[in-house]
Amino acid sequence: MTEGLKNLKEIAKTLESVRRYLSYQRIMASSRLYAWWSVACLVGGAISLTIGELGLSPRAEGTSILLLWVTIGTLITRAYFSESSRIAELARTLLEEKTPSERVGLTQGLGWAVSFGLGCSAGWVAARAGLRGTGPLAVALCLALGLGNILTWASLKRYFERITPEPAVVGVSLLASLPLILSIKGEVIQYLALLLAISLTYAGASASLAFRARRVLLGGSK
Amino acid sequence: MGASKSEELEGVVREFLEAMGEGPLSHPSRLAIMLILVMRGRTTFSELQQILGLTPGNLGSHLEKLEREGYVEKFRCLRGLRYLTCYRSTRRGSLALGRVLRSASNLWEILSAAESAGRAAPKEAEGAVNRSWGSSTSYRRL
Repeated sequence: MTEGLKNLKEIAKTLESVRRYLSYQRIMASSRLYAWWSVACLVGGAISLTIGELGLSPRAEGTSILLLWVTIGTLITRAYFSESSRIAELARTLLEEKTPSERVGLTQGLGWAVSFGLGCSAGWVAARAGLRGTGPLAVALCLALGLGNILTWASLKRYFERITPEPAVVGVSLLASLPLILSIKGEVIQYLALLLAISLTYAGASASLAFRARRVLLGGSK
Repeated sequence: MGASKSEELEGVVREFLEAMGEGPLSHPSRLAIMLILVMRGRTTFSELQQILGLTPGNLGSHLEKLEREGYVEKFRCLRGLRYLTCYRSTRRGSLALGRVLRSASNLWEILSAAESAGRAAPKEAEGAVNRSWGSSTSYRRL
């Protein structure tokens, strides 16, 4: 083999490494997203609990907690989308990938809006039906996050050949944990169980994705 | 079938030569610099030097050439408490790097298919590769 051909072989291998590295980056971005939400769930939950103990008026308390979660959500989602768009741009310029990232983002956004709409409605119905304490909140959150994750997985499956199963697993786990959370007695204990269920499910997904990303980087399956 | 295969090969070789040309990416160090800048984003001069193991003069001259071609841009960035010289790839540079990598990969696919079928590599393809990368410089550290 001539020197030129040896060099050509190395460059061809480089493209394969770039492809693998971008897959790794994509999966790690999702892993980081789940990790951030896992931590945010515990920290935000603790702050919300403290706000609840401050003795504010119901209106001030509700507004403070809503503002807190909107801020957390905006910060985490913005960081994820900026990372995702950077990776998509790299894939477009280096690999000529033609994934319609705007449409994927829009479909996912729509999926989350529908899930939260359904979750909040279910929570409201649960409150009207006489569920007390953290019950309505648990119904709303487990349904919203469960359905949101399942719809995210379904929308990714529509656009990509190979996708990771973690969002679907997270979604099903959260839906399945709802009866267990509702069976717990005591408002604070129930609230803590809800936070722990979400946080641990997300932490598990994050770890599983990080492990999968590492395997991709080392040349294993995607 | 034979004609279409030969047309395909001609197309791939032409694409490869166009991507390489006399362009700045025909040198392994410059290709490596672009790869680092595209994948990492902003990188300081000393980080590049550390990764590539080039002397400051050598690295400086490669970066100057890439900057002249509009493939990279130089700017001051804050690292810790100090302002350092940083570099990042431009869109033009990223597209050029993508073209080189893809065309090289396409050409390698054809050549390795010929090799595994026990045929000699098509002369025009091998000639194009040797003209572009046949020097003693090696790309193996990429």
